[in-house]
Amino acid sequence: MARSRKKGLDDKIEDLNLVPIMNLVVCLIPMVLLGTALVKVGVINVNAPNFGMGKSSNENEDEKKPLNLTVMIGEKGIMIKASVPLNAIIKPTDGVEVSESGINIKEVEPFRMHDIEVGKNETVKKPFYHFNFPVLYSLMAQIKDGVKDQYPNETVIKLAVDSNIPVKHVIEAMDSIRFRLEKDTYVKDTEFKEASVKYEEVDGKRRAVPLWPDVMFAAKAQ
Amino acid sequence: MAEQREKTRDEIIADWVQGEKVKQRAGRKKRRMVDGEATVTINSLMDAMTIILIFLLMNYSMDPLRVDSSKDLKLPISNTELLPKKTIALTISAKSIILDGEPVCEVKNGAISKMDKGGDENSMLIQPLLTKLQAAAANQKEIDTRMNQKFEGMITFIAHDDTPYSLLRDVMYTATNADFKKFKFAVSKGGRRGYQAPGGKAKEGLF
Repeated sequence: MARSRKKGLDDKIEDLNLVPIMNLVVCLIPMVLLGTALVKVGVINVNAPNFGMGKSSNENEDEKKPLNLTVMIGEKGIMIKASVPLNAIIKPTDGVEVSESGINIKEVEPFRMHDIEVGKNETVKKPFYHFNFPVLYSLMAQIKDGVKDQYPNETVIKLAVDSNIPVKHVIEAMDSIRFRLEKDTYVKDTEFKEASVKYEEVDGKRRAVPLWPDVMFAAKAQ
Repeated sequence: MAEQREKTRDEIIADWVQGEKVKQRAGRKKRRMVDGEATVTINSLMDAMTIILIFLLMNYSMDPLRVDSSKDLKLPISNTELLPKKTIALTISAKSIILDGEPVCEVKNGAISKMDKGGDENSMLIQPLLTKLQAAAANQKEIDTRMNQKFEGMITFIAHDDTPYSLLRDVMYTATNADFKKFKFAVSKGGRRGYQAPGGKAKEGLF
């Protein structure tokens, strides 16, 4: 004891032994890293659906006849309806049927069965839907421009979805109709998927240019 | 014992001298090393590690919504920029419905069992979930009145991306009945939107 103390005084510069702390930190970092979710989580705001008999979220009923723009997503494709005739607004596009009652975007390739991996060496046949979202977006942009004189402040869009459509396609549809993208029309799927949202400056704040940002789920008549 | 003592007596001095020599040599070597500063300094490494640790801990505690993705809970991809808020979180995984970390009912093949729907398959109301949600809403209202805030009825759905819409609709309907009006959907921010067909079978320029 005495000798070591003497030695310590002699050497003067004695480094702090950081090795135990180091050990601790090295153990803690992987632990915390594993704990942190690497996926960045975001949210999409949606208004509660207006279920006929249920409590309604739509408190401020408009005096004017609302636009009632509705997008229906089903196994056969996408239908768009509104209280104004849409055939006057829409430019003819491939794969789109425009009639008095509404617009019908046909599914380009009807949904196919795909092998989806479930566990090891086990696959399950599941449908994968190919919806024509680029065209949906282009039509939504056209409708927005077409009705902006009649309904300048309209932002609500109703979304009616068929029972067996997976949630991911509902989210995908919402992504295609809520904000304006760099271009007004997209033809190629890949180009559409990589396109980013358009931004504008409002009162010095940078925000995404809205298209139909207030999505509301419509309860389909069962 | 006696043999041992004899031996030590004979060699004790020699041993001691030898030991001292070794010690001296080691001491000399050590001093030489200190002079030449041939030690590894881990101070800088330590600094970096501490910063990383603090950064990670901050990230860890500041997340208002924690989602542990797994095979049964994969978030849909979206390009939204809204950040999650601290609300009541309802998880719809491929196997169960979980309210704020507490399992409520089972999900089988994307549907709730008939029993949980009060015996009627076509009913949109999920009974156990309604009870739990009403309790959660009452709790939240109590907190909001104490904090002098208005009850907003906000709820975040963390839904598995393959959940059929019918299940989501039932859950939303139940939530509306429990006085929740503002829905948020948790998504994973992928910076892009849309999905590729599984197995990379989607052709370039399908549309």
